[in-house]
Amino acid sequence: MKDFETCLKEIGEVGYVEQTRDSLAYISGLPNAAPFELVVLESGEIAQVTLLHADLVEVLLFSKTKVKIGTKVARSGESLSLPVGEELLGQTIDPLGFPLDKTKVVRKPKASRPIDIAPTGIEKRKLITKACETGVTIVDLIVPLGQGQRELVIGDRKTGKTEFALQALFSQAKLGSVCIFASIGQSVLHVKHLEEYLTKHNIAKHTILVASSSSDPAGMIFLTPYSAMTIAEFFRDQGRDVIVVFDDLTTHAKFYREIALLGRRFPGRNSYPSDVFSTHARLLERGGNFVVGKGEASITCLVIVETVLSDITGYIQTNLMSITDGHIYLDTDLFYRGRRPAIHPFLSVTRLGRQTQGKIAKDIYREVMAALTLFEKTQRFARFGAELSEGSRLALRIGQFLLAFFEQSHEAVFPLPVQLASFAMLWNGFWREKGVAGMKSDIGKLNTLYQTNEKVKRKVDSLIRTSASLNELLGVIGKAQNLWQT
Amino acid sequence: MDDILQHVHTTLDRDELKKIIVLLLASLFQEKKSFQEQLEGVVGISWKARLTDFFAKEGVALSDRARIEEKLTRLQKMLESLPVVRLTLAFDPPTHAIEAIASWLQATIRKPVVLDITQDHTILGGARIEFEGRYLDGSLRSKLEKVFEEGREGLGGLGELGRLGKQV
Repeated sequence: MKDFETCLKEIGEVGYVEQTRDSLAYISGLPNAAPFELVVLESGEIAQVTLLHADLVEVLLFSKTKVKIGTKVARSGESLSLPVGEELLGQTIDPLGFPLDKTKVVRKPKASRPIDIAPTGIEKRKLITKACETGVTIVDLIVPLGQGQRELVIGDRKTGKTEFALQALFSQAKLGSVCIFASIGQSVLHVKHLEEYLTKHNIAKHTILVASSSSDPAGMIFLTPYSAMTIAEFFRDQGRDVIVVFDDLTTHAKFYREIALLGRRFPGRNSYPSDVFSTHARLLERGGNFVVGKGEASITCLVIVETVLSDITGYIQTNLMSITDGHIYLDTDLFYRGRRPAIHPFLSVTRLGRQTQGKIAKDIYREVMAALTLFEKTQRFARFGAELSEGSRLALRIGQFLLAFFEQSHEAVFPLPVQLASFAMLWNGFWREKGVAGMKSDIGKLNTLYQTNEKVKRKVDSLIRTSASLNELLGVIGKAQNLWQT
Repeated sequence: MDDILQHVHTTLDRDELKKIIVLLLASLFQEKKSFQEQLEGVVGISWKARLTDFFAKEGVALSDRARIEEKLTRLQKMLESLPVVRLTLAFDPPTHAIEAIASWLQATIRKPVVLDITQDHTILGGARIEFEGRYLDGSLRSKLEKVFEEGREGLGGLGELGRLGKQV
């Protein structure tokens, strides 16, 4: 980025700050300023042109320092860009690409890309065919995601949305994807917790954390998801799959509303500016599955959205539901009943993930949904206290086993083969005698061995690979006995 | 109006005249003194003569306070709308220099302007001019910097030749 004096000499135009309104400043002069152009203040800060009035230029400030009236401003002739490169892996940066930890010495990437660009056209896109494993059993089997899908993660505060996103990141990092987490206007402590999670699970070197704290200027917070997406596009163009988490876009919308109201834009529904849909749509449309060279690469987006009192009919919530390819709904009631993760299997939707599932997973989905539906109906009937038939008691028992099967700590991730194999064992009645506790313990053992013991891994993978359907797998699993015996 | 504006070269002149107009307008209908007496009490000798000439040329009698108010208000608006040319010089220019610069600028720009002159001895000579958002650095300092930049590239080439010579 050129300095103020250089810009002044090269472009030959000058402006003066006439008025400031928190994140916005109004500048006189700069006759040829263009929308979205970067301007440089005499004090060294940068700002972006947002609106051109007849005699003033409105700019969005990116600095916490108060701008004085009368400060000189020069045009740079460039748009806002972000340095991108492999050097960013393992770093925590702000939306302009500067490391948040000033004590670390990091190499600055040489290449840079514009932050806000139009999404790729239809000619470079490809259908989504590969599954995106999240490591969360209920999602991978019931609400599966595809590589390149944009999925909403919606729920009230403190229902486990960020924990789920981190599990997905963990899973994808182990499979070689590049992970990007955009922490938008969250507290500094939240960012610290994220860093600690990434370090603890040894995935920090595969992850880039783009963070803006709640005390940052609204302009910086607004830029955060766009910066994250720009970095994702760089790695996509290198032929690598990327998963991006936006935490969270309701906060982003609130700060965008603040900027728009300060700029005296006419308020729309709930005082949001009328282009808030376009703001999010042009961000999320940059995700997808793309043709890169002779192969393909994807940008999968997990969009976190907060609801209040489980109201999913809010303006931003419904906007994002219509933009994305499905939603994972975290139910407050389930959360308070102790279900972890509190994902509601009937209210969650995936529009693209089903086509990426194999035959076994599809069979499992059908079986599970039928069993859970019967379980819900039987539970309602059982509350009346009437004597239950053998069939009803069996349906309740199966339902309880299934709910326990889907229960998972936020620290644990299960690879898909482990999920399929353990479901097949459950469906075969392997834990009929041992009960729920035994099932959980055995699945934990199997998961650990799968990830640490090559022999167990090969055995499980071979069972899955050689079975064309769930019925076949049930047959071979029954003969395989204890998979965790090496 | 042009006659009186010819005496307004800098923003200091403009602000001085604006202050006089504000004082005159404030006391125009309040004092029992005549307008002539108010002029003597409020305004310095030079501006008094100019204002008296101004009203005479506009055909306004000094007893007609309503018309005086109208003319002063119009003059005030014109002063506020005068475009400003910001000039950075290496020295404090004398009055005749200011007048010469102002008349040159008005002839070039073809409209009345006022000068906002600041001193910056680090520019060494020449001037930096800003007008309606455009910036021109015609200072001696920038010219010397350019010469040194080009010279450095030339000297860098000589250094390379020296190194090659040593190898040979």
